[in-house]
Amino acid sequence: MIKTEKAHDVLSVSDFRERIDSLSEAEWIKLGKSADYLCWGLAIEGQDLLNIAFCKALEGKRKCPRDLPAIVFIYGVMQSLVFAYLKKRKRDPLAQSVEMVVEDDLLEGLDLKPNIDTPEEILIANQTLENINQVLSGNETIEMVFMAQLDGYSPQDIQNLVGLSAVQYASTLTAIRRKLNKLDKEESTT
Amino acid sequence: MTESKDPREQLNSFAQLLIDDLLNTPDAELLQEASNDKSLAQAGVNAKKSYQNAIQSTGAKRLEIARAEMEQENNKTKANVTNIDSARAHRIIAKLSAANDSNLTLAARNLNNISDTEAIELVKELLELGAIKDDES
Repeated sequence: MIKTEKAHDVLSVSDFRERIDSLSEAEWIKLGKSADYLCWGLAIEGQDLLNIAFCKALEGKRKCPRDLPAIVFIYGVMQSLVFAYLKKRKRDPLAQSVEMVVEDDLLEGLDLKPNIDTPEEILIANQTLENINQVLSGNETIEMVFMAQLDGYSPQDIQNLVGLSAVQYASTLTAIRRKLNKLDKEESTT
Repeated sequence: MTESKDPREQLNSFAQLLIDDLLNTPDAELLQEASNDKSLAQAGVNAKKSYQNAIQSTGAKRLEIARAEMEQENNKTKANVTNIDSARAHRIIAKLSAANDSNLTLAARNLNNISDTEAIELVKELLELGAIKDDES
């Protein structure tokens, strides 16, 4: 059955603004930090990505489901922007000429070069991975979780591989996140 | 396992993991963390700025659209106004004068003897001001 979106299922722009206006300090931090994480290795800043996501919502181009917290919705918009960005960057020119580009509306706010991968961006991404690796080195569990994640294992597989309970796995992720705040601090001071 | 080893995709999937953890962190705990870590507080400030900028730019865009619509509307009125000929102008004035219309000032209510040019100008002004409608003739 196809689920159709009804007007009352989604927030109006003014309702959405009300929700955003009532975000807590912690929620603002979550949004800002999520945007920064999503832009790792990309040629855009977290602040710009977040700005585009907000614009899409305020213009009514992306509507927040009523039952979804506003920060989860905005995170979803940012994530689809990044997916579309990566997909477009990877798409080869031949495929590009025949493929329907449904994400183009999402991408209009991003300064995209028309073609595929840029070596600079790959270089930056590799450098970022290297920096993360350095920050996380020295703790075997953390290193194993990080490497397994890069290899594409699911959280369940990682827990089995590293021998962590769900709680231990969650604590390890928090430890990784806190360690990496250090990386952001270093980057912002250089 | 992923087929691609694109470092940007690797970073993105790693980022999602951290974001999951971040979104699940209780607010009080995160604020406590932020009190020792300025980069977190700064992320919050940046996020608010992004929102304010988005409000400004979408507001400006809406204003621009409204202006364009208004201008289009004005141009329509002007285009109609230029189509007034002297016979039509006199007809409109006679009708308003006969009806003792309040849109015409007391001094100007006996207007049957004004020149063609004056009649056209008067009707144009009334139309532009919106005091009368174009279909009143």
